[in-house]
Amino acid sequence: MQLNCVGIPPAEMLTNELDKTKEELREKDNDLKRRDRKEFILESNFALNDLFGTGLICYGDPYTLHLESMLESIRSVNAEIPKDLHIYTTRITDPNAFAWRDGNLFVNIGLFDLLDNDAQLAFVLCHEIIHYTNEHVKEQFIYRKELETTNDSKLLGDKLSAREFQEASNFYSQQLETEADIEGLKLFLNTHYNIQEGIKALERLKSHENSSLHEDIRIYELFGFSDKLKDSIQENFTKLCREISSFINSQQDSIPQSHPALDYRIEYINKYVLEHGFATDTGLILTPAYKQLKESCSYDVFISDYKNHNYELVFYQGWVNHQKNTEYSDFFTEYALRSFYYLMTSYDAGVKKNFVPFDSIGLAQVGYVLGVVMQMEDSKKEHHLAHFIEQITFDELEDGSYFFYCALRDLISKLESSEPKIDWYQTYLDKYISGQYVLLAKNRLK
Amino acid sequence: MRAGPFISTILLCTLLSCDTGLYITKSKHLNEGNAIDKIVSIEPVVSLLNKSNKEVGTRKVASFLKEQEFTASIANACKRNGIELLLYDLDEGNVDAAYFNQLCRLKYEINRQLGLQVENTELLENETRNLKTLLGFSAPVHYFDHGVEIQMDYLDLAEHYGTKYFSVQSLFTVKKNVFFINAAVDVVHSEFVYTEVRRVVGTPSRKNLVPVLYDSFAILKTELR
Repeated sequence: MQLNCVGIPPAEMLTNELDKTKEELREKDNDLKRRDRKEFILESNFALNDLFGTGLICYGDPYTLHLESMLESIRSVNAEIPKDLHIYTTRITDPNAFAWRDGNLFVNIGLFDLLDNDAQLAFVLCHEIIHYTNEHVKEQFIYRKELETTNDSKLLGDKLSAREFQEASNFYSQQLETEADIEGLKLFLNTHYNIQEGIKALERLKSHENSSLHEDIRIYELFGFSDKLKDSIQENFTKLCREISSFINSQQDSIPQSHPALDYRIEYINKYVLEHGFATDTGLILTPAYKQLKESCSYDVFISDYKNHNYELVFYQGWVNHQKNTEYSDFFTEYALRSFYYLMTSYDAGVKKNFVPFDSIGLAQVGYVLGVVMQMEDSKKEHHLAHFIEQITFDELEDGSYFFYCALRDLISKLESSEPKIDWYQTYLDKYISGQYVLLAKNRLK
Repeated sequence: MRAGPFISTILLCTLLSCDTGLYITKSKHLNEGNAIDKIVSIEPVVSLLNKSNKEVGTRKVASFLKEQEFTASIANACKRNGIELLLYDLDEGNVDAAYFNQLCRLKYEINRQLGLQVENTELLENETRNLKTLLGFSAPVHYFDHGVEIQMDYLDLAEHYGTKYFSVQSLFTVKKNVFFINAAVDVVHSEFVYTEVRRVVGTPSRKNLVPVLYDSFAILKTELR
């Protein structure tokens, strides 16, 4: 897809900035003093015109058309969103989006590259819509003016701390960003997009933030070092990158940021989702996205089984959906994890016996259970893995899965010795490929 | 009428009008019987800065109004020099998709290259010094065989607009002095063919701008000896 403007330019791009300013100044607004208001509107309109004049803004291209349809879809379930919003794609590669005072939203092409799906993009759009609807640009302008005129701090940057100065000179303050996150999330929850996917947008942005230092660059190729030197050069380069990264991370709190730290944003967004029952915790998912889920698989049966403590059924349902590899397999795995946990707890309490997870245990089944167990907290993993291994016998394992059996045993032993983050899989895969387990299995069978 | 005395008069006027600040480079090819008949001007810009080198408030409006005068003067100067001018300006609202897709990028490319060249001349920083010692040459016009290159992405613009010459004109202030820049590129050969930087004496009023612009396009069009 080419990022090229197509068709006749929209009227907003061709509006004369001075005419627009004059027209806006005729309207009344009591929030700002007359002089300040004039400055605010004038600066904003001229800056917008400059932005359009850079040639970085695109209209009518496939990306913008897609964004327009997404905006329409968000608006269809959120009546409070005004209709005078216009959206454009920019040629800027930095993964970001921004909202102008007058309802023009801009999404950088870099954001399309970074985010995984429409749900994440919709989350970002909702955030930007709130910046516009709540007039954050104006609020920030008022805040800046107040700082400039307050007696205690006439000289901005001189008597103010670095953080206060940064807060004032940003497009939006951190407080406004937080507000946009929460309010935007409310808009987003009404849409048909998958919530769990949407809120991952922040994690994707975080991954971009962390990848700013590319320690995997082969530096010796860039500068043509000799073969003798290349290893030591590369090693030093990697070491330097890590040192810089760790230094930046350690200084993160003291460097003024335009947005709140992403970790903090992810945490409170997740907390908000959990508190309001939008997560899978309660099994009550309120969004239209799950209408589709209901149709695609037996959602109601699934949830009622869960609520009626039929954990075995839920566990099997999770398994079936895991095999289908549907869009919602994560959702089912989440329930399967909980069910598995309850099942194992009931074994402990002696309430239930005879739970055999599968009729025949092969590579896939063991992999699934392992995947479920690995999502648990570290302290619970060991216990449940041990339980699981007790349930399966060597005879039940099909040929290939002996590898998993050994891997599980090894995992438990390593968890017992509390070795963090072990690379158990690769070690045992190597052993499996070399045929050690087949030999072991044959010996055991004898 | 022979061109010699005419050109001498123009140069004299140029020198008188611009006091010390004048810097012109022109392609030899353009000067040797390959005059420009048609040229595209991309968004003329006027940027009048305040004491703190910022364009704010009333300055912005003043720049905007001045820009309209400036644009009209460019059109007039081209007409008087027999150059057909195609002027594309966002403020005029006469832009199309090709403007946003390519002309804006070309404008950016020209300005970027121009910035590099003009910075090197130190003309803007030391405008009060004598031109001769500053630039190291005595003639106000400098000729070259091959101009500064630009990217080769704009070939199809020549077909779209019916000319291979594209130009950028701007008027801006540096340390209270007003400078005029006129730069033209040949998109077929992907190179600069003309660069002019000159200091405008006095305020950038229409009265002062008319001779400057006429001069500039005359030098661009005419074969100098």
